[in-house]
Amino acid sequence: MLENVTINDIEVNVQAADWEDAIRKSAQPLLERDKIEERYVDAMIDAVHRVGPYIVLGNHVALAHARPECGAKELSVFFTTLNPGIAFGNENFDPVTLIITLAAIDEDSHLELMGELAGILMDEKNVMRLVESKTSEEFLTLLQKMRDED
Amino acid sequence: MENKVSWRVKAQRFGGKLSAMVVPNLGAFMGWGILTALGIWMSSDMLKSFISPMLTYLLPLLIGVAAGKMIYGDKGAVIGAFSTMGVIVGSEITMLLGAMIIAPFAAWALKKVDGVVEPHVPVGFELLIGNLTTAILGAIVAIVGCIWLAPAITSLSGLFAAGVSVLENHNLLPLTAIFIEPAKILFLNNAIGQGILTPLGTTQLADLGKSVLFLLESNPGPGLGVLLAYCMFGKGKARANAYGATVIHAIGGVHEIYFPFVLMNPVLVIATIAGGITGTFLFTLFKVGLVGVSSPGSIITIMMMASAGDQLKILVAIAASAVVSFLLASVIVKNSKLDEEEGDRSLKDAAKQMEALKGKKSRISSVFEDKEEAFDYSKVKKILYVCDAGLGSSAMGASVIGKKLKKAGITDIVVKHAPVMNLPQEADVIVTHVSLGEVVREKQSDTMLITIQDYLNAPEYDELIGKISKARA
Repeated sequence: MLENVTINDIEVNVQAADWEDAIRKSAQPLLERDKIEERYVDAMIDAVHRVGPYIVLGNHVALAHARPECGAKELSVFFTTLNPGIAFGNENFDPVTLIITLAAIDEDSHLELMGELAGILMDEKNVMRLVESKTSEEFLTLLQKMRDED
Repeated sequence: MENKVSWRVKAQRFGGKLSAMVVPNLGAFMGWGILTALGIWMSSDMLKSFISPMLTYLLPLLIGVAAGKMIYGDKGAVIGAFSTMGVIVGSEITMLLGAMIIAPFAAWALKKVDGVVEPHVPVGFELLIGNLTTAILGAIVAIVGCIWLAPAITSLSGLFAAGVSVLENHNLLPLTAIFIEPAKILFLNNAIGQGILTPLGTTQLADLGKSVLFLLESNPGPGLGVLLAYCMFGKGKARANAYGATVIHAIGGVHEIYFPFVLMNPVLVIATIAGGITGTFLFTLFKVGLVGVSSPGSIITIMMMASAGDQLKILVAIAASAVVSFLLASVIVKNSKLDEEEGDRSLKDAAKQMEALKGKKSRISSVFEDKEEAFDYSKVKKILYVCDAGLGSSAMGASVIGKKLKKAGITDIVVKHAPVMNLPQEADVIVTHVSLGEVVREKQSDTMLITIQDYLNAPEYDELIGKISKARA
């Protein structure tokens, strides 16, 4: 599914005040395209308040997401790089420099995507190169290349 | 000595499992008791119409659900209830005991079958195949239960009944407690009370105007003694539950509520037998009786049904049986506390020994400290990755582990992901983020738990896979 990502699904060098703001900003495009409802954004933030920064995957990447029933309308993903990075409260992997916003609509349709992403993100060098992208185009080209390599 | 301790600990654990099937459903048992008591007291046909269907279907099915769930989560609960229908349909008597046997078995069998089938299910067919295994296995177990288990339990209760009637015929009435009290604990109380004692007692009514037989099973004294012993000398949850249970038992007459307390520590049946013998001995000595069935076996209904002038004597006999049962139960409950400590200690010793053998402190030794035996990594077949929502971080982590397993050449281990709210679920190892570790442990304490910080590159992944490969080699 990673092959369907376009430059419209990527925003680079976003500035945010704190982690809440960062999640809101990275979810905004999906909200505008009606892929998620407003409450889905709240649910993503709420989960971090409730459980802690468990959405930080490691390697300075956060996977912002909530349950499908919290208002996800269509399977979709959005990549946001943060510059400067934002602290999510997970001391090992702060600052977070890449937020992947995921809207899953059921238990398994997004698993292929998760697998592809895992393959790329496991390598910290990949994350660093992605985050250094100056434009969405550059990010996308890198992403596709990494996917083919994996 | 050591064998003896471990045997006792085992018996207690087994009893704990039995009571775990009942305890979650006590509310329903009490509700049924209330409807029954009200129905009989007000002689309302509407209320009485609840009694039999609830006893025949609802209560055994609820036990089937709890028992199945204990073994295999929600899937176990479904097949547990389903297979319980087999014993219900196959028998005339209440199948609470039947449910306690067939439901855990069905759930266990499903767990095994799923374990074999799951690794071979193509992606996308999990749900369909999962439901089919439940359906087919459930149907088979239900039929087996109907044909073999139900008649076996019916004859077991027949055996108790025969024992009671032999003793009755030889004027050894107090000794009937030897059959009645254990049968009660196995939920055969209604079978004995209504199946045997009521018809026998009713024939005596014609000759004598009252019958002592109505008192044998309904005497709340023996159970009362056990509950009071827990109130005074029990600890933790058992003690906290015992207070309310005492009232429900003695005043409400729902004897089912004390059965789990005996099941937790089966030796306590000695106390109830002694209490029962004492009570019945005094009943016969005082020549008291009831003029009709006392159901439920509450002090209040017993007083209402007592033959004129017998009330005080009956109360004395019930009190005496409670005292005898209490004294014996106190000794047992106090001692069992020691046993538990000994049991815990032996487990901790085992964990320490294991560490010594390994030569270094294991990362997961804290898990072993309350486990019965060392964890066998070669048997790992299913790894469950748990997170809050159950589809993002856990799916990501699960696919990382999957990739690493593949790289290590291990292909027969399933890695699944789940939201924490769906626990407990069948798994050999659970992996979760540290922030969820405590919740997971609370929900599923008996599964080996690995907590990670880094979903993508947790060192724990390689460690786990390394241990699995090593254990298999």
